[in-house]
Amino acid sequence: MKQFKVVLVAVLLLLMACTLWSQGKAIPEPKSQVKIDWWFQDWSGGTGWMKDYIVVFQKKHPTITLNLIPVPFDDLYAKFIPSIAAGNEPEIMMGYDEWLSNKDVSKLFYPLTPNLFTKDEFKQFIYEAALKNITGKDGNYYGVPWATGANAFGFIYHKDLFKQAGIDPAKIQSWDDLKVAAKKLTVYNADGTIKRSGVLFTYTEAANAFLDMVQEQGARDKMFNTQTLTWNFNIPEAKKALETFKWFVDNKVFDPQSGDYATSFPNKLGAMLLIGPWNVGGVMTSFPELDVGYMLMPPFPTASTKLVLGSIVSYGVMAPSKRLSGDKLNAVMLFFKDLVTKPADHYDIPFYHKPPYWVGAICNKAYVAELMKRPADKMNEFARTALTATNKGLPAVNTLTTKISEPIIIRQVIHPEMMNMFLGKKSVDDVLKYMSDYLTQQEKQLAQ
Amino acid sequence: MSTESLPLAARKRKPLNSFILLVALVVLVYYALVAIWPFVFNVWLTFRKNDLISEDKFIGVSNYRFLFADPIFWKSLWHNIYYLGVMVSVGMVTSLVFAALIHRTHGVMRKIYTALIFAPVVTSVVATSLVWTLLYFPKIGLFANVISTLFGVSRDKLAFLQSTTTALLCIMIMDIWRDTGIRTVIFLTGMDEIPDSLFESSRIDGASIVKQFFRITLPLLRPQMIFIAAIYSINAIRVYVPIYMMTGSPPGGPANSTMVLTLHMYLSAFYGQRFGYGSAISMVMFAILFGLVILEIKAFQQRWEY
Repeated sequence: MKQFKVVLVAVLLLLMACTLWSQGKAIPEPKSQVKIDWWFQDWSGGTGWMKDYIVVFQKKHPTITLNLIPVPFDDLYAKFIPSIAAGNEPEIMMGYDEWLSNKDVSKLFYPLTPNLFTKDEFKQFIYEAALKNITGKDGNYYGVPWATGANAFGFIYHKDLFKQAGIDPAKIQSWDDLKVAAKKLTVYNADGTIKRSGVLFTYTEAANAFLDMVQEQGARDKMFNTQTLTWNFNIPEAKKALETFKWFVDNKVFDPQSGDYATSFPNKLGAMLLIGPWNVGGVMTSFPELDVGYMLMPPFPTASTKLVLGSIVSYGVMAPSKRLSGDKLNAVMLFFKDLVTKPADHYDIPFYHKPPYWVGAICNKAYVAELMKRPADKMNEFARTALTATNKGLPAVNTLTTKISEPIIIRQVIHPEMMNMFLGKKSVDDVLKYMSDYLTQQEKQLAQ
Repeated sequence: MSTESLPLAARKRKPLNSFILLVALVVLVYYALVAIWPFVFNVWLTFRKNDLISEDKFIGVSNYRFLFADPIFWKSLWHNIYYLGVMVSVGMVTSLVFAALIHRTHGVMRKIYTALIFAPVVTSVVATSLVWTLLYFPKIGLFANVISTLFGVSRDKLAFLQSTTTALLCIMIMDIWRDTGIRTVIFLTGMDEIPDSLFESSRIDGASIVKQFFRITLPLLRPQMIFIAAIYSINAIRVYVPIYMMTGSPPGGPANSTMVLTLHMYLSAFYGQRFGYGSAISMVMFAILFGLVILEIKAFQQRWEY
């Protein structure tokens, strides 16, 4: 009996080890030299990171040449689906999973499960929350989510301006603290106009934050009814969220006419900027002389639920072309296998580069586990923020199941209406009514 | 009937006709593929819900119904009409003034003035848009600095592209500046064609320069004016690049105050993945442009005599 127990434990341990260390199916190296085209969003931090990764990858796989093709965000979005429809997409495509919402990805990409991993193996490495939009109707996974910039996750700030004003960012724990700090950081001209805003809500992140705030007050179902496909912002929770933003304009702390954030923030027309941590890599790497920090979003006043992030979330996703075969297919599968199973090779680069490229929530569990084991003093603040973004942000991600795409909801409806409110062109109630009516009308048309 | 029984001229013409037919066929096939087929496909798409990949179904006139109930569409259409009005009227007047001034110069100076005013035309619209965006930047831009220093205007009032009131106007000013050269050259050519005898005889009759301009130059520049009005009306309906480049994220801002039909079409089709709806917007644009082309043809059919 004792012998049987020992054997049983040994078998179980062996099985566990096999599961823990499973590295997917064996893929042969290409027989001849192959060149793989890879579309990647053209942002300095990201392309720098990927170029460094290519060096690491090609050293391990000398028969594979990865040809990184940087494509500006808007072009990438516009070309992503049409290129697949036209059959001229590259071997590897980078995009955002939100672009694939409501689409059957099995018609778009080559399946990674079961061809490369079993589904359980895949889920060992990748957070399940990130898999929703890359799951095909057949239940297989068709891409690798690798990061999310976690929109509206917090504030990027100028360390020197905080220091001058005697503000410790660690002490900003509530929206009231934020208001006090923003007021203190605002600088006025002699005529009383704003020279430098205490806080900037430019770009579209305020619109993302608005949706998150409504949900944090427990009004998710009131705001968007998935049964009747009705959007309703004519509720106290939405009004309160919108009025929170309006306070900063009414109290002359935020000048909504400060211009595009990519120019105004680096030029210190604002002391802090509401944005996702992706911004550190996306924009700030173009200004290495600036000393910026990142602080997390305080909970919404009187929030009844835990922190909600990413009502509209975008995971950066890498996906293989469905037209692949032969050596090219093997090369691409090796790329995906390494991306998933050797995460440190891929993720360590941005944090330990000088200056660090990027912070955001990381989709690879194995890397997060590894990062958590490292002593705090061995990590820089960007790695620490990424870890917090992952641990706090990913469980908090709760995307809305709307059929309307992010650019329409955020860029064409909510953000323009918030601007109308900031500029005094519309009242809060008018804005809320317009958004409810417009989005409901569009939601119903898309459901036809 | 054998070819020998045909008259000599007809026998010689026959191979020529086949050649013409062949060439015409190639052109027709090409035209059908690049112009007719996309148009027909576009019309077909307007009646469908289509995302290019996973969804394609007939939804009748739903796209058009939604279009006419869409406040952003009406806002965009109004912006296009406003753009058309300002571009044509102000663009025409400024170019006429420059043409009249350059027309009075001679020799090398005339060439230098023409080259200077034509320079923005050959510059990339993307580059000029980016430069003007920086010039217009609030608080720290060149225009804000110069105007507030010279005239003591509060910088808060100089929001340019960040103000819903002035954003579209600022873009139009850049667009008018960019194309002034080409309109000026067209007017200059027209002015050169006016016989000197008309000016000489009017001078003898005691007409001033201003009177000559309004009584002789302007009426005789009618063909050029109609041409410019027609071309720039079409351009105003199709305007896209300067607005996309100068309004940043999101394009068409602030608060959709610079949204135009092409941009709304692009955003709906490619950002919203609603290709049927985008096609419906393009059909409205087609109807407007078709009307403008008909007007242009009618205007050109009139005769002008010096």
